[in-house]
Amino acid sequence: MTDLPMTIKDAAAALRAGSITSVQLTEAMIERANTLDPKLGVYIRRLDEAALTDAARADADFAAGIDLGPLQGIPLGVKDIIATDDAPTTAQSLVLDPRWGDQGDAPVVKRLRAAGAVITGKTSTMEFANGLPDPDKPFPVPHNPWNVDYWTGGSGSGTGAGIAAGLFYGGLGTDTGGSIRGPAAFCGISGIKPTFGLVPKNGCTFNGFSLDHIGPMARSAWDCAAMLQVMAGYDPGDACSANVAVPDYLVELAGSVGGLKLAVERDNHTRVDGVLPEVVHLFEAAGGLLASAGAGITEVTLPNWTVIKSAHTLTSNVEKYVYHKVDMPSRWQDYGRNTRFSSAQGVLVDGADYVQAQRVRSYGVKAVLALLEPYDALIVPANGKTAPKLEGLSFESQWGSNVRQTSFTGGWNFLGFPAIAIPMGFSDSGLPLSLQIIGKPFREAVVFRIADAFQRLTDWHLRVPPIAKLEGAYA
Amino acid sequence: MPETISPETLVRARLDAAGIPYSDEELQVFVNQYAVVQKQAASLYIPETRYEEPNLVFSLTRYL
Repeated sequence: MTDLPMTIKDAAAALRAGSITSVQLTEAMIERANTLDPKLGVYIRRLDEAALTDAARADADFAAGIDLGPLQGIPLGVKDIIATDDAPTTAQSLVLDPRWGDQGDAPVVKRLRAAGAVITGKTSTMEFANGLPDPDKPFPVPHNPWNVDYWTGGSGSGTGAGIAAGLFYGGLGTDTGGSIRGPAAFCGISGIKPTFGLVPKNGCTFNGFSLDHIGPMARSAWDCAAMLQVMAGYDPGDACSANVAVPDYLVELAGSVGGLKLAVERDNHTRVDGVLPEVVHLFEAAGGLLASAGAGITEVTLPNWTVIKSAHTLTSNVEKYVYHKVDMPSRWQDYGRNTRFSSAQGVLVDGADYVQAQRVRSYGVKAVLALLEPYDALIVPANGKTAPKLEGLSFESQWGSNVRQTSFTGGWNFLGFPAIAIPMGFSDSGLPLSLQIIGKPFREAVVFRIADAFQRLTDWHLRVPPIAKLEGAYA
Repeated sequence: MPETISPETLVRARLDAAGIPYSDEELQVFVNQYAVVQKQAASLYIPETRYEEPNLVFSLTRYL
């Protein structure tokens, strides 16, 4: 089927109008996966039969007048570091104890199922959401649907590729340094890292205890808002879970940015060495579009941003390493090459420097809140470059001395502020580029409002990769 | 005056103490990365943090 709805919003409307059933949607997703998954490496494990059972249940509920909300009957993927009842969880690693997944559905998966979502499978990632794709291990290497010679970004790799290619409408990602926003940016879709603690992260393997965030990925900001509405909220099983009220995100999506005050930051983003000219051009165009739609735009400079990014990196190094310290001596060869370096580099960090990084964190939260006090949100690019080629991808090429200066996501994990990545155009080489909108803590509603308004004025988020059209997934 | 210890010696000692069975090629990657990590660590000690509390919360309220 090539004339399916493109978004969760449209699919939800079609289901309620009776123009399609959840079983038909799910069968179409399965057919697309049959064709495209071998080329893209989206899934570690497909759950075709279970998904069709869930879809039939959703259809029966609709017929009985039961309406659980916009996610009812919608096919979604789950990143394979999040525990699910109906499939083992591998964390894309030979090291994870298979019994870890016996705990059953993570709270966030339970919430999606309670909302009637159809889980289509466990999506590919990086080992423990860390490292890089490793072709020497028995797990799929994810390929970018826009050009299969390129990487999807990670670690929400399979989720990002699957949404872009139309294998499901949305999915769960996690973000410790950019693992939702990076694949969203590189695959041309939308993905939000919510405020730290908004979505419970129990039932997810650790990558960074104080940095991990679970969040939704989907084609549009509206779709992400619909997913987050279900996912957010306190859970006592997560020590970091924030006991705050969850507002209605969808009611804010009126399409207007009139009267909003937006800060833009160039010194640490578009003025950084190595940023593509297309990123600069498209970022300025995005700002201009929002300004013409009625938003006020003012340039600011983030204080000590390079220091804050360094503090994030060191915190991440140590927290990752702690989790793997016990296993690394005896399982070194079972880890992928890049994961070994990425995880073990925490050995190189002194304990005092980790504590100092947490003092930088305290300073950073207060300083950035003070900077953004007059504004509703901050806009920056999500990344200064496009997706890299798979050939030659290595720890050294991604973590070396100056490589990370064009990565613009990690600082927001460190400070915990909500940040969404949405498509803003394409590079000269035809790869997606992305805008990032950052809000104040627990102000996801404003972030969604701006992102949704931008997507009503543009159609970047509705573009389809050529491979999906060629293979008949889309007309 | 103590002898200067080379980065390779320092890194090797840390990896050995952690029980990590690195190869010679892997050691060199860690030695190169050590320079990056040290530069990042040194940069953290900005004056603005001199009297800042670290954002490490130890609270017993969740056990009430």
